[in-house]
Amino acid sequence: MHESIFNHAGLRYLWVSLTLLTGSVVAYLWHDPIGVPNGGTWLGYTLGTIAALLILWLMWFGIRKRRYSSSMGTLRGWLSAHIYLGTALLLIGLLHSGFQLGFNIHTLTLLLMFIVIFSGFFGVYAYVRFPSLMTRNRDSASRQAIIDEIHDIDQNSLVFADAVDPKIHATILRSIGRTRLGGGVRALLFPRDDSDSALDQVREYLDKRDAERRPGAQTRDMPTMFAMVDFLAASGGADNKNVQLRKLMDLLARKKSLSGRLSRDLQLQALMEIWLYVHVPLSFALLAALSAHVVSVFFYW
Amino acid sequence: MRWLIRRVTRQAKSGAAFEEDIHYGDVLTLGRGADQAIFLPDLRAALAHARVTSISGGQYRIESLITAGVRVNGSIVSAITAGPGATIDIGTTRVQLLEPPRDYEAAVEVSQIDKAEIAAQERARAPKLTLSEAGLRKRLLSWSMFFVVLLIALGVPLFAHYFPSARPLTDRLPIASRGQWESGPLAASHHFFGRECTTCHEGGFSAVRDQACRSCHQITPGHADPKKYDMSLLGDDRCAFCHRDHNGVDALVRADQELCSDCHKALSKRGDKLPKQLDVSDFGSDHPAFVVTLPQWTAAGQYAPVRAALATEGIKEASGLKFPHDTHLNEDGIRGPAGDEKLDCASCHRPEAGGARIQPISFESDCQRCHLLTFSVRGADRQVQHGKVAEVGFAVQEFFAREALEGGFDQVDAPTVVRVRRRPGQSVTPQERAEALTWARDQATTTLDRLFDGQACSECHSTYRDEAGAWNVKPVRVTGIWFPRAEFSHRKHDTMTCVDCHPAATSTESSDLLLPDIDNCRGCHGGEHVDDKVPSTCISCHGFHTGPLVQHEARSAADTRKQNSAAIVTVK
Repeated sequence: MHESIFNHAGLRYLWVSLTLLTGSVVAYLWHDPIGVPNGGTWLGYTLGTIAALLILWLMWFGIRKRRYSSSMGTLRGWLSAHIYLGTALLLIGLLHSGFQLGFNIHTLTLLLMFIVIFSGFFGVYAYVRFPSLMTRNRDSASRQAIIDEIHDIDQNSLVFADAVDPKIHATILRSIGRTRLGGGVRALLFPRDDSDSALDQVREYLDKRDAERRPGAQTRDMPTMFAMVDFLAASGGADNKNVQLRKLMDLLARKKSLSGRLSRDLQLQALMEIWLYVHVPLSFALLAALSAHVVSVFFYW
Repeated sequence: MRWLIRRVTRQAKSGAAFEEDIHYGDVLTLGRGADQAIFLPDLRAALAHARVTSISGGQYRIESLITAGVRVNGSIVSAITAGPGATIDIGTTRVQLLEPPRDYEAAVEVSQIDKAEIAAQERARAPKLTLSEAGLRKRLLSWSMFFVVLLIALGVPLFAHYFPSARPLTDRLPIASRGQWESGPLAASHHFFGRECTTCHEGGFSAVRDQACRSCHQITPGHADPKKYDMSLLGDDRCAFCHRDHNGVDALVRADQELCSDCHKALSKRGDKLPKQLDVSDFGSDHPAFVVTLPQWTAAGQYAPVRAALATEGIKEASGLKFPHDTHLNEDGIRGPAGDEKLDCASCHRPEAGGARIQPISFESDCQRCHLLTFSVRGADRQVQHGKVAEVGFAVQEFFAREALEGGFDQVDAPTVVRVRRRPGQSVTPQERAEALTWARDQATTTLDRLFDGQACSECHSTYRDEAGAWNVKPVRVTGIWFPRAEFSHRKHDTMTCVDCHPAATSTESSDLLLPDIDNCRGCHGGEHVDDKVPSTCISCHGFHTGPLVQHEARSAADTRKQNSAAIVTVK
């Protein structure tokens, strides 16, 4: 069976986590503390120590994954343990708190921990789901190949457009100028399909021409394309330029398909990364909150 | 209009080579078309791409002739007015507007954009394909958040701790300064000073000291007498070991059974002097039968109460009183001043104002209505005083002396002087007076004998003659508080009737102990963990701080009083 981050070493870390969780829950249920369950009982301190050490160890993953020469277990093993023990931390942290929540640094620590862990859950989902989506989306081409092809198409379209008419050349020029690959954070995460109005314009132009051949057909307000239609009508509609125009349309359709795939590819890539911008910075905030939490409870013991 | 068109043919560090050209016309056209004033052999240029018009004041008007616009000074525009120095980039060609030299109305310089610059532009315009290329920086964000949280959650509160003078400022911060460290709500009674952490917390990683608690709780006694018991058995006996604040408004006082049972479940095995009676772990299943305190005095008159189990065979209360409850509670009634009447418990037993205890019985208010202390038919409304034996003797003797000396006492066997009615002011001879007083003494003695032995006192009391032959009453010693080591409130049990616990109607002797033992309580109460009875923990009845005051400096008079009150058994 294929070994993944989930079943690494025969589910070793799942069992470690389950054991830890079972032990914690049993101890919590068995424990009859002075007063109400809280972080200040011996079990509270024990669970808190375990949770704090787990947080430090989980954050060490960020260092370990950069140490390519490390021989301390495989990175896949580390990630497997990172996921399972991180999940276990949810409950251990809650049990440590004794479910006492308030408007204070202690609950902020718990809250940050929750956000970090749940963002990690999204990360797990992304790492499991998105690579196969990306592979299918790219259709066995590399990203750079897609970008190169888009550039080639741009060059070729200008050649074809130039052969047709200056107006169409200007349209294509504008289209190239407007083509945006990638972009800002928002554009990467939520791509808008405005990549190619040129294709729409050319296609509408052809539809328009067909429609005009049918009496009573609707016309739409497309001034630029009316000009192209006029031009093509004047040129007879079946000459060499018309062939060039159809080739141009094929190119534009290909470009639209490519840029659509590219933005989907970039979007998936961005989704696979964006959760880390929550996961990592908030885990640093968590580290600070944890330090304040630990110092404060012992400073005013 | 004359345009100077200067074409840069070669660019080098040493200088550039130019060739100049003149264009006539108002408009300078740029494009790939052969008819354009400046010809751009580049597919990225339209046939007629843009035009430049010289307008007044040495300014130029640049207009794009295609919808894609034209790049002027690095940004795409459709039309703009610009002065000399502006650059128009189309493909790899750069057209720069110049200050027109003499003899010309307008001038431009046409050059090829430097390859390095093109590469730089391409890099700048290169698509941003990842979030980090789009400008997101994890590391900066991470460390910023780390230090911001550390400053707010640790820096500010520590600053407020070490610089008290800054607290008025820091406490006003919206982040609550040290308030954000508070792990939970304080107990209700601590709220009034709770904003100032250092009232209890010294800071610097030291636990709350007892001294901090005692600054207010000076007169709280300890648990047991350390001279009798080894208090080290309690382990950590800091106040804060049991009293853990910041766990809600009512969580400061422990009510759990384990508070006691941790030690008491097998206390007698822990030390030599520890009585088995103290081995308790659960009211419902592991609690000894009740023990009462019975008042007793030594021969020398020293008060020495004894403790005895309620279940002791033949246990009696030696109160010195005779009182059959059954007679008084007779279903058919009992003779009262106005005929037969039916009594119940409340006829005599009334709760104290607080309702917890029952008031002591008083002869005057509870008995005398029926049990009159009259002694002579001639003075039928006169009664002797209750409770003062000597006064009774005086009162009776004075009564008969007055009768004898006033005369007119209508009794056949009395001397003449007593029987003769005298006018007021009429004197008697010394012999007559002696005779009258002798008679009076005899009458008093007879009456006292009757009062003390048969008619009045001995109805309830044990009476005797002392060595001198005078009547006396044995002391009455009714137990005031049967269970001084526990607290019981009648008020909390007012849904019950008296006879549910006290079998008074069948009691024939006043020495009967009409007290319920533990089984009676267990009918309703169980240990902490029962679910079909009232869960009752140790401190439902017993206190923890019932020992002597813990020794510490400057004990006040109030302390001493409280300490004593905890040990003294009240005897009414």
